[in-house]
This record gives sequence, structure tokens and C-alpha cells, in this order.
Amino acid sequence: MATPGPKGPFSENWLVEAILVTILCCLPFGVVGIIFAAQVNSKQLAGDMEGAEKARREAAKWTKIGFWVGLGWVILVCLFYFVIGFAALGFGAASMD
Amino acid sequence: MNRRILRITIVTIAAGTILLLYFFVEPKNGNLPKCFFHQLTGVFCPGCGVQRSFHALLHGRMVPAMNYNLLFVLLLPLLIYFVLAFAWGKKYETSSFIYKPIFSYSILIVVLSFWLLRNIPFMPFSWLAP
Repeated sequence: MATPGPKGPFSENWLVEAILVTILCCLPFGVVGIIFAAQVNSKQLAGDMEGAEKARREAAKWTKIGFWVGLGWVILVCLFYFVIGFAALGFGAASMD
Repeated sequence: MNRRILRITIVTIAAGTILLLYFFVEPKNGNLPKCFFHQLTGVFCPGCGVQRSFHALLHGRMVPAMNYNLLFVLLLPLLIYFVLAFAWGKKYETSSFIYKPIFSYSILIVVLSFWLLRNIPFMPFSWLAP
């Protein structure tokens, strides 16, 4: 007979990662991550293990999307400045003539 | 044990680089990557202003730091704890506060209300905008 309540070890809920992505990566994907992360443990406490596992996977998915999009954006911006920097150097050299 | 040393090394190098970088980069020159969401929509997200806030904190300017992103400054002790716990390879107990629904839902409500309030374009809410 299945009794509701916390059973066995709590699975990783991705809350910490989702918070870090939301605050440090500047992206709303992290908020979606927090929404699902919050559901993991409340569903687990209600005995809904299947729902908790589903929420955990969703939390992981959105947190990772937020992380990679955030990182990709930062790399793109850095590349952009790198190119601008070189272009400026080129112009500087050209105007010297 | 080796993994722990590796984690601590990675976190130390990353943190050192970020601290050095942000200490010397001047946000007023516009060299920092701008928020992707804000560029796209014009709406401030909960993380907008974190870079300027971080820069201000590194220079000991507490009030400007809170002006840029109040949530970041308030959550900073928690964020530092999470990063240190990650570096140390800490396993959270099942009874840890991070698994309590009350904690995750409080964070969710705080982040969502901060997001909403900082986009209201008049005082006192506009004080929350970066």
C-alpha cells in the first residue's frame, strides 16, 4: 500500500542551479527552472513520485537551456568586441599613413 | 579527494578571473555584455543590473549596488554559500532547506514579484529598476 509522504532520498531538485542561472545569467529561462524545481519536492511530499521526476527533468532542461544561452550570449558579445577592437586597430593604423 | 581539489581549483580560477575582470572593467564605457532578454524585449529581467551591481560592490559602493539590483545584493550570502558548497562538493542532506517546498516557493515568489515590480515605471517601484 502506497502511503503519501517523503519516501527514500530526495532527488536532486535543480533549485540551486536554477537560482544561479536566473540571477547570474540574466535570463528568464532560469525562472522557468525555479518553477519546476519548486514543484519537485512538493510533489514528492504529496507522494507523486512520477510527477516529481517529471518536474525534475523539466527543471534540469530549462536550467541548462538558460545556462548555455547565457554563456553563448556572453561569448558572442566578447567575440564582437574582439572584432571591433581589431577593426579599430586597423583603422588606427590606416589613419597613421 | 582529487575531484574536490579539481573543483576548488576551477572555482578559484574562475572566481579570480571574474573578480579581476570586474574590478578593472568600467561599466560606464559600455564594455559589459548587455542582457539578452532586455535587448530583445525592452523589459528588465530579474538579473538585469547584476554586472553593474557586482562592479559597484567590488568598489565598496553599497548603495549604488543596491540601486542596480537589490535582489542580487540581498541574495548574495546565499549565492556565495551555494558556490562554496559546489566547490567543496557538498552533498545536501535530505533534510536540507533547499529541499523544503517553503524555501523553493519563497524564492519563486520573491523572484517573480521582483521581476514584476521593477518594471512598473514610476516611484517607488522604478527604484528597483537597474
